[in-house]
Amino acid sequence: MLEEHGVSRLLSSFHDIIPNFVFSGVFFSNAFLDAHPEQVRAFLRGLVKSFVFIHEHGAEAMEFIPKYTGVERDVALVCSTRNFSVTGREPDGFIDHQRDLMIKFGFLSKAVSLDPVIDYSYLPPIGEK
Amino acid sequence: MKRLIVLSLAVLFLTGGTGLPVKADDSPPIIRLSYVREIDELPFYVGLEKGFFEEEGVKVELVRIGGATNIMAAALRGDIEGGNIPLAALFHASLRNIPLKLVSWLGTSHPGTKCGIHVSKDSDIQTIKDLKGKRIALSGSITSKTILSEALELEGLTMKDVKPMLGIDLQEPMKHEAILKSSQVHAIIT
Repeated sequence: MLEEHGVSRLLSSFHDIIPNFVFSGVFFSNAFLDAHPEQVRAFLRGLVKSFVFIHEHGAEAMEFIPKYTGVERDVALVCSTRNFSVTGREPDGFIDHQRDLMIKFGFLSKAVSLDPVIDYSYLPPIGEK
Repeated sequence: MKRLIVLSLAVLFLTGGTGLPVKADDSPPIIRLSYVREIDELPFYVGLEKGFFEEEGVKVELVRIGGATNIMAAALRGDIEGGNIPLAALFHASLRNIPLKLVSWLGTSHPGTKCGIHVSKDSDIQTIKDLKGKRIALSGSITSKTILSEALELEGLTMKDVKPMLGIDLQEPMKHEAILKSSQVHAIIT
């Protein structure tokens, strides 16, 4: 955004420093998952439709950014979005690499596994339309 | 007295006798999700604007909450059902057995990514090595500190070689411009 306004120069991007950087994801409380699994599945079907829409209609998708973020339209239309996987899943290797860096720099105490807190079973099966 | 009885009966009717609001039977269930006004959440915005969630039978409401700890606490209290959580927070959730689950990622960086370390347009800083001794503004999140630490290490530097200024508000992106223009910092991670 700073670049688009002629204020800054990008010295090094997140991707330059840590390729395929995984920023964030969608979570639900276990209580809600247990009580309303069908609602979660329905939400994720809608989310996957959004991923596909962003891939196929990127410019139209960008038009929605100002309303929700407060970023000016001229900036929003030229900013770079994420590389959204249409399956909602990312390779374990990307995530493990970030974990190892967090340990190396002292931001995480040990090599904790994310297996207990990741559950892709609510997503539509890969390949399902 | 008669008016009071009528009012009481109306309240009972409207709340189904439970004291809680009753939604119309044909309206979809509402899922409340936290958001922080970031580009990562574009799929939320698209789903809302294009009606994808309602097509699938749920209504989504976004609730603005800052800070991973606050977001997780809100979910555990039942103020929200879930939301957007940084990867770094997820590691800590796993470490502390916090009862939540990530069900989908929200994308990765790519060669066109513009998030990163920015310097003033006219700055003399040309490489990461030139950041030595400079003031660098960042949010202080684990994500931003990991990025800066790795960028410096790749060039043989450490955090001790720069002057980190923690606390910029990532939820106010338009303010980043003012910070950099003020010349109080030499670089900003955003």
